[in-house]
Parts: sequence; C-alpha cells; structure tokens
Amino acid sequence: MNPATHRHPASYRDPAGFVFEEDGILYRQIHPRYQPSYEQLKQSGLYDRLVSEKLLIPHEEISQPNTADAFRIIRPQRIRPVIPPFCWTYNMLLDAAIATLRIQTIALQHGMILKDAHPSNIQFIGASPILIDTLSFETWIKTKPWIAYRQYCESFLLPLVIGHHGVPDSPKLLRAWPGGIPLETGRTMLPLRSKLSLHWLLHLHLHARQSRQGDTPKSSSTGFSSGQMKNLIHSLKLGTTRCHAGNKHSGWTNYEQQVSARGQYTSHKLAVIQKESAALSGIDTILDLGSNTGNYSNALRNISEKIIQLESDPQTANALYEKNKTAGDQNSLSLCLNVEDLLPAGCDHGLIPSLKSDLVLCLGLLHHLTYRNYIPLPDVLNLLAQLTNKYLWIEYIDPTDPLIREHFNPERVEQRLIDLETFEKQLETLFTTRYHTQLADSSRRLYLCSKK
Amino acid sequence: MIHLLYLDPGNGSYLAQVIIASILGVVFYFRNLLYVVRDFFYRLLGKKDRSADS
Repeated sequence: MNPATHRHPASYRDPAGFVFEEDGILYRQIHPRYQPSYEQLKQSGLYDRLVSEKLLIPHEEISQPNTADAFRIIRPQRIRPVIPPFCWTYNMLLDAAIATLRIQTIALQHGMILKDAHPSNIQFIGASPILIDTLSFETWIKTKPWIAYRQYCESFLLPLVIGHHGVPDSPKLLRAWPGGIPLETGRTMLPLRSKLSLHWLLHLHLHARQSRQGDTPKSSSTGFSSGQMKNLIHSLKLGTTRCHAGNKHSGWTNYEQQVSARGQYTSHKLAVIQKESAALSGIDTILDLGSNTGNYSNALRNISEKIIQLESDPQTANALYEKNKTAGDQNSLSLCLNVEDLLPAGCDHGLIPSLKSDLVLCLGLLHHLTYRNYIPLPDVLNLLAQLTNKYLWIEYIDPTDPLIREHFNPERVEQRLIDLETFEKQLETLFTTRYHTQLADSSRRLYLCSKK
Repeated sequence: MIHLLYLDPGNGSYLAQVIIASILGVVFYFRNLLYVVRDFFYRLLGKKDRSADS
C-alpha cells in the first residue's frame, strides 16, 4: 500500500490526513499530528455514539502503516455516489445543517468540537445525512470560540435563509460559492424582514457587519465560555429550524394529477417497465432522469440497491426527497439537477462518473430536451450512453402528441422534428433495442435497450 | 469531478462570535426568567404548565 501516490486529488487541505484510493477501495491516512484527537475521538465514546446514531460514517482500522508520516490508516464505509451540495434539494441542505449541529452538540458533550462545518462533509444514505469526514473533530478548548462558526453561517444558514425567502433552489448558490456565500454578499439577497428573526439578525446581519472589521491576532484568544458556546449552538439551531422551503408548489408538483387524465397511459407504462425490468440482471444502480414523482424508478426498488432521481424543478425534487424520507427509503436519492447541465457545455458535465448507473430511465423527457432545450437527438443519445453501463428505458414522443402541440413552439418543433424512423435509426447507432411497445391511449412508444 | 472533501474553515469571525454569544447570553437569561415567572403564575392559577408539553 502506497497512500501518497494514490491520494485523492481533492484531499489536500486537511493537515490531519488525506483520502486515497487503492484497488477500488477508499482509505484515509491519519497523520501523527492528529493522533491525540483521533484517540480522544475513540476513547471518549464520541465515535461509538455518533456511529450508533448513524451520524458518522463507520470505519475499520487496518494494519499499522509502514510509513513514518502515517499514524494510522482507516477504511471508511464507502458512500456512493458522492454528490456535491449544490445538487441537493432545499430540505437536504436543511437536514444536513440540523445533523451538523446535532453532531456538534454531541461532540461538545464528549469534550470535542467540530473544526469545520461545511455541507461537503455530509453525504446522504437515502434521506439520512451522515458525516463522512472522520477527522473533523478536535479537542474542545472551552475558552475559545468555534472556529467553524463562520463556515456554518456562510455555507448552511445563509443559503437556507435565502431559500426561505422565495428561492427554492438556493443550494445552487453553493456552486457559485463552493466555500460558502460571503456574508457581505449573501445578506444583500435577504429582504429587510429577515432581520425580524433574532437569530438571523445576529448570525447573518450583525455577523456580516462585524466581519467587515475583521479579526485581530488577539481575537482568537478573546475569552469565551462553555455557556456561551452552548448558547451559540442553541441559537444556530433555532435559526436553522426556522427555515422552510417556502412555496411548495410549481407547475410540476401536480403533474401526477394531470397525467391521470390520460386513460391507461400511466398504468400501462408502469406495468411494462416493471415486467420487462424484472428480467434484467446485474442492476445495482438506477438513474431516473426527469424523475418528477419518482413513481417509475421507485417501482423498481426490488431489482436495484440504489436509485438516483434527477429532477430540475426544485419544488418537485424537494417533494420527492420528503416522500422518500417519509417512506423510510434508504436506497433512493433525490437530487435537484438539470439533465441539460450534464452535457459537455453544461456546468455539471463532471458529475457523469458519479451518476453512471446500470439502468437509465429517460421517460417523458426526450421532447423537453430536443424541442425545448434545443439539444440535437444524437447529443441526447450520446449523453444517455455515457450515463448507462448496461440498459436504457427511453420514451419516444411523437411530434403530433397533444402535449407537444399544446406547450411547445411549433416552429422549434418543426426545426427539430424527430420522426419515428429517425429516432429508431439514431437509437440503433448506440443501443440495441431489446423490447418496444406502443403505450395505451397514446401515440408514445417505449423502448428498452442495451448499450452497444 | 473534484469534490470539496475538506475545506479549511479559515477565519473564524472570533470577535463577532464573542459579541453575538454575549447578546445571546442576555437574551436567553431573560427568556428563562420569563418562563420561571410564567410557570409560577400557571401553578398559582392551577393551570397546566405549557412548557411541560414541549
């Protein structure tokens, strides 16, 4: 084992250790300087408590390292996929924030403290947030303020409060400011009424104003007490739990009711997908593009270990996250992501390896990509081929479909017209059709394909 | 995709934190005092203590 040569390219900031991958297994090297904190984490009972509450990723210690710069090498339980916070729905960011404060509270009870509080340290198992950075803890020096306080305010509280005031996709702001939205910038996005909450007024507005003056070298030794720390965390908790996703409805949240008026179309589609998918083998992950209510992918729970659901509408994605959470679903991960952004010119093209799955569902989506977003069919199919390891379900929507005539610009449809023959010909260049059928009460057709 | 697996929290806004924590100390002190007075009158009037519900 040679950790240094297999170090993860993004794991370079932490002076306590780094993550590396060897033979497909993820490890974390702990440097000798972190030995006291690591031993305190284990001996104080903090590790066991957090793992038992499913708030910290469990790990196993492997044999003693043979390099001088390593105190220990641990093998954490692997979470797949690792998704950056800007793809989360609003309630995912909220739950991650609450989990972070819960971890902080428990850590304080064990004489330790979080030395960083960024959403990237949290990942999701289904709808459950979990801390993945085992080395985030250090000894709590009770006379010192919380080093990660500003980070929490900028990367959790501020986007949540902005979202609370009518920006349902506020986690996307973390794409522009991955380290957290600067307080001075972020507070300009807040309405005046946000000052009516004592906790938002203090942690965002007053904090931003005070930060302008900056800290002096003596500031870090300014007197602090354990009571002040507890008040601070309690106040952050009150300020965080006050945040809500605002308007829960959009044009897509009642889609299920709209399609129920289409006769047997939905039930036939669901029955076909369930029946034909049952015969497929080796499906570990399913990727549902434009998942909406997630009904089709959730119906395939029994054949797959993990389902990733992408939905571009923030309210619909959030509703699906809540639905999965209520159902106690530990396998489905609902994300707010636009499929168009996965294309080479899109800002999320780099996410393709994380999202790649054995079966991809592209249902009721093709017309949006081709006729509305103006993406040529070969490019859509290329993207689908990149996203799937094995199989693809794709729905062909005829240009005469009533919804296309009703909602799309006829000129654009005419310019990008995709007739059935063209569709099948293009599809065959990258996929082999295993099964196809026309859907009941509709001119739409459904194809199950294998990747060539 | 390069994930931000670890981010240095950087400057911790120490002075702001001390000021905010001090304000919170006063606020929570008076809030708790208010609860004590309220509970006293609840008991005096024989009403159920509402804080016990939460």
